[in-house]
Amino acid sequence: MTTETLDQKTIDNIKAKLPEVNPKMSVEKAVKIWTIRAELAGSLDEVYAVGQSMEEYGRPIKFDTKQEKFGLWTGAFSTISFAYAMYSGNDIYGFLTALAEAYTGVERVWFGWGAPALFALLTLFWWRRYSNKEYEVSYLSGTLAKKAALYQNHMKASDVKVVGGQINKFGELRRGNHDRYIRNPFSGSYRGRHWSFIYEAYRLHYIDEHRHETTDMNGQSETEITYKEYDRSGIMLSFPWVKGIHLCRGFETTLYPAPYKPASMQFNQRLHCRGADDTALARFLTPKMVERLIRATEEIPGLCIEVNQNGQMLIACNHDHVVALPHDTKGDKECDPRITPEGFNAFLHQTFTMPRLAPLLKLADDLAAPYTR
Amino acid sequence: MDLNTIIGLVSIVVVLFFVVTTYNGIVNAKNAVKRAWASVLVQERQKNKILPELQDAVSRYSEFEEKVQTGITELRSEVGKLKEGTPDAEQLETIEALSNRVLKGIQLTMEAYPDLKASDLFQKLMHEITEQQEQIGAAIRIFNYNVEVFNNQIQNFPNNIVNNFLNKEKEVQTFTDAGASEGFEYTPNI
Repeated sequence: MTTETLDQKTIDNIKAKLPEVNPKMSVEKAVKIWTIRAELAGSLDEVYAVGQSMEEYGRPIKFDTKQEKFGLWTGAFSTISFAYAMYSGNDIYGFLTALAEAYTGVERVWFGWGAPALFALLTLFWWRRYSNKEYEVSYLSGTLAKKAALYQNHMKASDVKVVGGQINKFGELRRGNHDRYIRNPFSGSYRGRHWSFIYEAYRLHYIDEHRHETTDMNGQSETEITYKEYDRSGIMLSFPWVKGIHLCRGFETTLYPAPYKPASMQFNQRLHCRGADDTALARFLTPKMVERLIRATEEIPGLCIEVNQNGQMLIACNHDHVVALPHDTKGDKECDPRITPEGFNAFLHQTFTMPRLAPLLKLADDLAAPYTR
Repeated sequence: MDLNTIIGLVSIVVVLFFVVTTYNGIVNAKNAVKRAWASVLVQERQKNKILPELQDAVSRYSEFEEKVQTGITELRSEVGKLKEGTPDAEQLETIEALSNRVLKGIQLTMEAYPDLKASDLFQKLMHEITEQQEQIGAAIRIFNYNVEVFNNQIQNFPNNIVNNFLNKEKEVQTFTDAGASEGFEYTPNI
């Protein structure tokens, strides 16, 4: 269930009808209720309320998987035993399969390998049941942890179609000669020293196709096609004060024809500048701005800054994703809800930082400083 | 063509290549220094444009008029002496020292006259001057870095051989804030 497909009225109705979890409730029912609450949680308080409810449940949030484990081990043992018996030509097994052949008329080899195959299927069945049960708790704790991290940083998941539509509006995003697409977008708001703004954090996945032609001794040519995949990430925001500039190293776009070099040799070693016209760059790249950008290249690997003709800014880096969300806490003795729901609740209340995102937001704040005084 | 001749020709080509690239590298570094110096001048002249307005703002306050007015006039004159193409770190030091004195004088005037301190125009001008000083500071740091690269180019071996015979460039002085270093007890022996 995702809140994007439901209207607010429906969400409120569902929340109102959900029963409160009490310690007498079965863990299966409790997890179902918590999962719905976690998916519908629209604020940090609602996330914390679910964590608190899990703590008040009073016992580890763990499904009974004895039946599944028994079935798994029994099935695995049976599969191996029957397969070995068939493979080694065990006399008893051979007698039994011959007997089956005599009764049914079906060749004994079908029974011989059929039995281990059947037990293998049963093992798979029990393994799936066991995984699904484990996954339910992992999904619940993962959803809560991710939402806590997002809401703490004033972020939420975005519509990938809307953000993906930006891909042709920036030269920086036109990477990859085979394919490219945006995934995992998030939107957020940031209150900086100089101004406050709304941004979209995105992840660009692009694929380069390389063709390599070889000719053999007979003169026949063969083309080998290889694909290399890359990830870059960054943020997009509105920046109306400057238009048509691109600062990057190692990737140039034809959208901005005019090259420009500021006076700083240190800057020119790290970034190449191009603009719709060099006047915009000359005005933008004051000595203070140049120094700030030099520092930024040390903080942000693979830095690229672009402001398109619509006044939208993009700041990109080499990280595969700037939005680092916490994963499932499974196996962690201090915060796995299967071991300690109190520990998990405390884990939700810790401060989740985004160390890869913070420098990009700080840079966007500083770049606007001359215009927001 | 025997092997010795080939080795000799290749060596000559390698040496020529080195000489040409080093010569051009020194020329490029020198031009970068000149460009950075021009950038410092641009920022200083920008400051000069704000100073007359500042002069008008404080001119009403007769007690400090003479001192601050004289300081501003002298500062404008000193900025006018800066020449493009020829980095003059000593002149820049004089200007920066004078700027600091003038700004201190204006700060004292501001403290003594509350209505001047409260004036929006005066606040705006002080803000612009402060911002301009920061831009000048950044431009000077960029200039110093370019000077360091240039000086390294002409002093490092074997670039210094090419410089002594061909470019004949001299070391450029970096900007140092004499006023700031006066306050330190320790001075490095360099």
